[in-house]
Amino acid sequence: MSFEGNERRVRAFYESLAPGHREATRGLQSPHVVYDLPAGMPVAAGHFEGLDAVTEGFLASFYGALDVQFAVDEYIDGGDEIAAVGRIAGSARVSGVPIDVPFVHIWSVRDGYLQRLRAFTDTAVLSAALRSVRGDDSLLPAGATAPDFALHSSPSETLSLRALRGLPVILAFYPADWSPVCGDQMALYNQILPTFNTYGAHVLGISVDGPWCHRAFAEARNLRFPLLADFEPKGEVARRYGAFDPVTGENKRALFVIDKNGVIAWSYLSPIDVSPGADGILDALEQLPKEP
Amino acid sequence: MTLLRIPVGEGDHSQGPQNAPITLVEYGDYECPYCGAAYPMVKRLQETMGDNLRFVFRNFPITELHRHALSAAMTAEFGAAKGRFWEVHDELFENQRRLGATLYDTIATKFGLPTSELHDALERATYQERIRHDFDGGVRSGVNGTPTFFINGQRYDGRPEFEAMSAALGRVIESDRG
Repeated sequence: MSFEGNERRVRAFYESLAPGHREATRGLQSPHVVYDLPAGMPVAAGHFEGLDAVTEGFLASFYGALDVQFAVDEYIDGGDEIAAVGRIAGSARVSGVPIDVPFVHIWSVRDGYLQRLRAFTDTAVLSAALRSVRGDDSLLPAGATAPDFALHSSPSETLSLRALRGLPVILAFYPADWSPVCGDQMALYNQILPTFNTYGAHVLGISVDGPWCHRAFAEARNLRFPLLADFEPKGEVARRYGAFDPVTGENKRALFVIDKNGVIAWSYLSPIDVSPGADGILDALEQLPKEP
Repeated sequence: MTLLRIPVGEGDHSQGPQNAPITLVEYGDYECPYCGAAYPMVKRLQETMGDNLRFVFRNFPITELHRHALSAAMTAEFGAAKGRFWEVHDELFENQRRLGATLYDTIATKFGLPTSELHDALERATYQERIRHDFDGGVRSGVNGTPTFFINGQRYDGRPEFEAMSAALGRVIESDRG
């Protein structure tokens, strides 16, 4: 019976979803597989076409943000359409907030391959779990490992924190490009770059503005250090550092000095309307252990 | 609280009595429009506060943004070397939109300063070190843009407007009396 075969394919898919076996799910799906995900889905939402788009556009970021398993309670055999009903259980990787939400997946199976997925789940609960930051909103303190990230430093390039290992890094979270003062925080750091360089330190500005906005801003202000776009998912990196303001939807004004081993040496939260200057940064850089 | 780390001293450009109850230090850039806007405000504060206020100006040229900021600061320092700092300072702010060699010559001539010496000082960047010293001291004190003001050594984070600043200065005088 082909119907039973279809259900078996879908069962095999969920059995292959266990960590380490996900590669096998590729062979069960058509290379032209289509995923339709709820618009409110955090991390990645909407319509994905083709196995590569699904893998890179959706699965990578989904499992990157969520450490979860799909546990199917029931399969409903509708012939060419098979419904899997169960729960998504696990936790959000960054916040550690536990997750346990129901899901329904409706699979269209043709010619022995999974062709289309229509997924339904409680996207609000998933979003909330991703938004929580360690149960409070305080900055990561000195001594904490600086969470790694890879963000756009220009429309075509990304920069990861890990790539700067071996040198101190100054991470400056700020609310938005184009603040209406000429000697603003980023322009000031640009001016002080030679001093920062005497410590071998890299400066990175981070806001939720997109890479094109950053480019225009950097060009207008002649900035010679990278501005990173914490743009999608919005403020994700800032959340990890406790530097996101969920009310304004922008970053707080927060400074971190990270030592050459990737450990936070100093962090500072400035009132949102007061540019913090560079005195604290230079003090922190001065106190880093000297090279032998 | 962000504190001025370089105390006001002999080398500073200062107006008003040394023992005034309030010392207001400005870190400024001659090309910065916000400093330009603050210039008449400071004058008004000086007029209303009289001998209660000593005003100090330190250089903080944002050269990455303002191509005339350094040359203007050097011209003011040249004026200082000739004992005419405040005259040159005022002229630079009052003619902020025309900063450049022609204006510097006009200012020098107005106060009888030898333009050839001015040209020499600009070319050799004679006063660059001093300006750099002001700038670095400002950075270490938490200057976070221009203009940045310090009232009796504490950074003023309010708006650089007359009402707000004179209220802040008034509070300092009150607390000194209290």
